[in-house]
Amino acid sequence: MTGRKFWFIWGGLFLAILVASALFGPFLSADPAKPDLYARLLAPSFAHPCGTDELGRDVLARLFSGGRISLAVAVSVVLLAGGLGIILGAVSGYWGGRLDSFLMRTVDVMNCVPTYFLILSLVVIIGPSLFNVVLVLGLTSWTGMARLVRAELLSLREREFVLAARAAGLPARRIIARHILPNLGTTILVASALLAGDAILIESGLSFLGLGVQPPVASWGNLLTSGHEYLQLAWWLIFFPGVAIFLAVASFNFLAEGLRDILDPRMRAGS
Amino acid sequence: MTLSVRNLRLWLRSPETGVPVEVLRGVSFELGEGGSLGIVGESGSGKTMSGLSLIGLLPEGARREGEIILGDRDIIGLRGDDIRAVRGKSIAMIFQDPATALNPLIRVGEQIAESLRTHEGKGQAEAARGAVEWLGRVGIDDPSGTAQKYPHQLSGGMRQRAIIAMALCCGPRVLVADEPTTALDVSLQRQVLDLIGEVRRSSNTALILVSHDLALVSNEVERIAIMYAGRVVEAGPTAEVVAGALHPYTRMLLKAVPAWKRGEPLESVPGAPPDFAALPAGCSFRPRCPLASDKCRQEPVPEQRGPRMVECWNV
Repeated sequence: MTGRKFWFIWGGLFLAILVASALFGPFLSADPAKPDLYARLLAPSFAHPCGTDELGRDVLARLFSGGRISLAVAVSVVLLAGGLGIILGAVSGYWGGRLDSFLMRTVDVMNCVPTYFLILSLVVIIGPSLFNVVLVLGLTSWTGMARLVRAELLSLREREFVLAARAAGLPARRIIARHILPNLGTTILVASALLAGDAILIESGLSFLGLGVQPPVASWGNLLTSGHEYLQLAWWLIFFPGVAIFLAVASFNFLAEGLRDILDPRMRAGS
Repeated sequence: MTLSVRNLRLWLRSPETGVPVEVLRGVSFELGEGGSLGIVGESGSGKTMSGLSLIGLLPEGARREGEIILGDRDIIGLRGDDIRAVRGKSIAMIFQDPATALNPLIRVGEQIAESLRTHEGKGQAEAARGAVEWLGRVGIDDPSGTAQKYPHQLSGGMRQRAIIAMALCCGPRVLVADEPTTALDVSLQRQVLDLIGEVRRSSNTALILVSHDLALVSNEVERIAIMYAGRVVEAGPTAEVVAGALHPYTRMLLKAVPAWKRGEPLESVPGAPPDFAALPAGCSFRPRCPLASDKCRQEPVPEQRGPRMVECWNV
């Protein structure tokens, strides 16, 4: 009882704070792009809760605007990769046969290449920008979702109500969309939450390496990059972005964990 | 519209070896407009597959041969949208377990309405009204309230009624009911069968009742076909088959029906159902047959005796 609710509540709470700060934070704090050379590298204080950076910009304000980027990346990647994974997985599982073999071998091939290097090389080729990061992440991280949806579909498609719907002559797209996918809701929700956490982590990593969001636009990843040069002078430059990334990824994972336990009827019956 | 199945053969790919195994070995039967036929046999005799074969709902890797003539056209070769137009519209099915044949996440009324929309081209509102009307026709007390409910909110009997409405709403010419009452309480079985009979007669729909229960089937249908190892071994008018069974297998099935007669032991059919991958040469019932003789090593030939058909060397 406490276990599954605990993860869900904390995950949800962190995430709610994150979303609220990304939405409303920028209106409450200073201009994240406005330098103030008289206020460089100030330690956290009442005026600057998370200190200022090497150009005197308010770190909290930059964290808020970086949060917008991270959430936007998470949402877009979930929509793109999740959507792609659901469609390809459903097609693969429902029709089977050669199309299924082709799609699943494609997944195998993509999983053979270390994902991070694949993403890195693609971003290098098409050039670093926020849009490209989302595109590359979307096109490389659908494989897990496709596998999952296909596996679930293989078992769902043998269920009697699906057979009954086929016997009633309903079109395949309607059977998939109305009869099968809604029964996959839990799985998709949990996988999406995990995908969102991964997307934030990878985007931060890419931005840290200078291949994601480009300065002066702030992202949690490139805040770390500029901060690590001043590590010995100003710990707050990397501490706060690091904590932000950690909390965002952890809260998505907690949320996924909690959702899985709460929505799984077997777990419910067990308590 | 008459349905005539001629020499239907079906191969399924064995899940272990991938080798095709012949599970329907030349099934033939006729069903007149509004007529009724019972297909009876043990588990694994091919009776369910005969039903599913009619509308081409077969597992991956299955292959069919023969003729399935509905009205004046052979529907065995139909694919895609053509066979989809037959399913539910010309030939409808009712499945065994009402608990699993309805989608748990969709309201009952909507599940009936979607057939009406697909086959009758009805709009959202009209189909919803049609669904409520059908729920009323199958004897549900509060049809408009029930239409808004999810399957788990209904009792087993109510669910089976909803499934009957779903199957019959588009006015099919043939209804295939595969063990429609096996999962129900005994007290409900008669009710549900009477309902199927009543609704189908009012629309002159033919019925194929698939069951292992010879006693149950014999009350409901005009003709009976007994299946063994993927073949019809005896067929004829119900009363004649029940009163004077010719095939030894049919006779053994009849002895296995409880008759409330004191003192007479209830018999079972000895032996196990046949393994399709290793059928004996000649008559496939030979290993379990009390009358088996040397002649039975040859393939038996169907013998027509008036309205009846039997496939045995010893009658």
